[in-house]
Amino acid sequence: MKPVVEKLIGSLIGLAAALAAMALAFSLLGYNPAEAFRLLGEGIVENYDIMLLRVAPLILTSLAFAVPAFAGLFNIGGEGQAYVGALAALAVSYIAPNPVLCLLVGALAGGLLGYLAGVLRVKRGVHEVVSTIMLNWIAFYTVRYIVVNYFKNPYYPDTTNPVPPPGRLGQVAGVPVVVFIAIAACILCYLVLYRMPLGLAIRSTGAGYEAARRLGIDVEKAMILSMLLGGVFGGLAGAVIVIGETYNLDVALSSVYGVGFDGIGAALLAWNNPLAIPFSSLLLSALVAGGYQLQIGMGIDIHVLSIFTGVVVFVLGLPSLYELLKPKLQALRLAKARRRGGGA
Amino acid sequence: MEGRTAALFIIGLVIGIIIGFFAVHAAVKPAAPTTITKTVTVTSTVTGTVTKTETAAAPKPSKKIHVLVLFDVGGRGDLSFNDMAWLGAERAAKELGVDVSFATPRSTADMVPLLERLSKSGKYDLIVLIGFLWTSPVEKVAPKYPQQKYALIDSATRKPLPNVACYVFREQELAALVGVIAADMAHNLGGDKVGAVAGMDIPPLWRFHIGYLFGVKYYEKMTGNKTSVLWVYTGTFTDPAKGKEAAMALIRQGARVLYGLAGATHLGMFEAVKEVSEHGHLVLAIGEDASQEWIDPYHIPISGMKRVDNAVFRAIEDVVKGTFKGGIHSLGLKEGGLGLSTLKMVKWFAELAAKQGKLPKGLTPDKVVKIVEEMRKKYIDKEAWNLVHKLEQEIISGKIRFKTPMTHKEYDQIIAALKKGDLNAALVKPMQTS
Repeated sequence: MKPVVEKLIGSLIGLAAALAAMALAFSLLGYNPAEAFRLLGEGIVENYDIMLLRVAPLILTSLAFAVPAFAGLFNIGGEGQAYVGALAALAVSYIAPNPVLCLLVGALAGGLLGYLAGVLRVKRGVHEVVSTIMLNWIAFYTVRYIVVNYFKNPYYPDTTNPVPPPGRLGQVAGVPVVVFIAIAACILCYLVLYRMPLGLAIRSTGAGYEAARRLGIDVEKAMILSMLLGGVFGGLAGAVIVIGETYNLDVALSSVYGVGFDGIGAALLAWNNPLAIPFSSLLLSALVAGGYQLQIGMGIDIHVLSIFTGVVVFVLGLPSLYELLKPKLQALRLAKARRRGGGA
Repeated sequence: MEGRTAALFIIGLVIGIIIGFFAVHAAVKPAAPTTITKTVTVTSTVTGTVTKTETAAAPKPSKKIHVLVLFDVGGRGDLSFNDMAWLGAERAAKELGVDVSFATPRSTADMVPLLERLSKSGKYDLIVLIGFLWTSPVEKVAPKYPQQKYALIDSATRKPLPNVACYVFREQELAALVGVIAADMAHNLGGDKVGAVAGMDIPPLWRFHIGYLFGVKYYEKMTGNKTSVLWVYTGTFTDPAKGKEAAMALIRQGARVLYGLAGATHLGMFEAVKEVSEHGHLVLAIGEDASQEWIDPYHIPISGMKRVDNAVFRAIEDVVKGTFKGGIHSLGLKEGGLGLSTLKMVKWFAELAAKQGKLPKGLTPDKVVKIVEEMRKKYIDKEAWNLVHKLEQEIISGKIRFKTPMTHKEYDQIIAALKKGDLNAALVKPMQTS
């Protein structure tokens, strides 16, 4: 229990530090920081529905990063997995407008992309950071090509034909249904990681590859499955946008664009803990929703606000990034020590 | 361990402050008050001549009017569409004394809830929506808030709504004039093909295509010089690399004049034209939306101008005067919504570029104007200008009125007929043969 409290305190200190950094930057630029924070708060309250729309896909792409991270892999491919998931869900909705089916197929499509990166890593030694970044672009342009050439709405040529109404998920008491799905995914993810043999294998692989291997854990399978699982969540992120929020895609894919990368930030903020991810995702979504009030009220450009989000993630996420890299650094140090020992 | 974490926090904090400060400083600077006033004074001097009568007639508002401008996804900084809209709003703020605020949506998913919230607040006398992507959100939200006035720029709702004023451009009219000029320049360069690098396959671009092809075929009919048009959709408005590729392909197929219709994408087209020309095969380019001659005056002798700024200004002015009317407002050559770049415009945009430090080395605004003037003299014949003026007059007087295709099929049919030389296929009523 104690490490959790420690991390929580650490995160709160980090949040205070991030806010202080923002306040200082605001005042240095001649904006009144108190006024800025007031507007930000007002914006979060007023634009709560925008915040709720952003949070579900963000939670899922965070999971897409977090699960492989437990196995010591960096899945930068949440973005590409989300594009593929969104397109697959959309395509299925035209044929069989059932939301559950659409979400499942979307998740599967993302999972396949993650699986591919996992297999490339394990069987061919292609680093997953490189392969997932490449796959992001392949996914982006392929999905765009298909959207522009095959799914275009003749009346609004900048968007696809909408999801037929029976295939859509709506809202319950003002909260999009997909938010509940995303939270359920977090709990599921937690159970898999901490209550199932697969989770133990994944976590052991990440904690010490060599030790896990010698203990008889199939580390290669654990790595591949962790990428598959991450891909499933990434694909689901794209699917929930299409099935539960926008009901279409635009030709620039702007409703999905960036959600995978924001997810990495949210996951780092939550120390990759599946149960903390909803809160970190909510924080980042709140910054965007509240940011609209800052744009309108103080004339601060949207790009500047994105930088602030980056600063918050950076300040808050630095320790968890360090934690993530620690085993690798230790291994490096160990290897160096061993080499020195061997030479003597 | 704990000490290390704390140290990391502090390092993070310091780096965060530094990055945050410099990033914000750099990003906010262009919008700093001093720059704004400079830009606006220049705007009013030039655009003032175009819409002089209107600005003079504008009465002083009795109470402060609040206008909110919502940009396209992507927002300011594109040096054409969104920035022109911003210029129009800033001019309205200065000349009409209205309060203007701005916001840019992060994604299309945010558009409906954001518009809904802002409409509900009732704080704004007018919400100006920039660009095509706002069409379906405003169709969903506007009927729920009949008191709220909206202006939709460069797009129209499918059904006219009483509280939404849609400003669309009759791009065909401008592109027809450009087509005549392009065809003439191609023949003066010894070629018989002109090309265009277009953005996405969407209605405004359909209209450009129809006009451009019409202009070229009109030239062919009047002069007897056979000319064909090569048209490419790149599918993007933001990818200069793709624009360059497309331009290279067109040049290889024999196009001697290229018309850029793809926002930032056709900046790559300018590059391709420059490169090929410097290797001895002279190709010329035509800019669009703003006057873009200053980018490379040796190879860009003329631009088509889509005055998004005038549309935004007009929308705000109508609210100030109390003459706001929902439905479609169509802007063309007659209303000052479109036009070929005059030397005065060339100079003004070159001055603007010089102020922002973007003018290429070795050029001054006056030099740009001089080069452009010489290029025009050399590559555009008097007869072509006469044709342009004649066509312009016929368009303004209403003798020539273009069809506006509503579906892709209709657009394809018009293009197919035009390619065969059937000019009337693009017109509402046939031309009188002279």
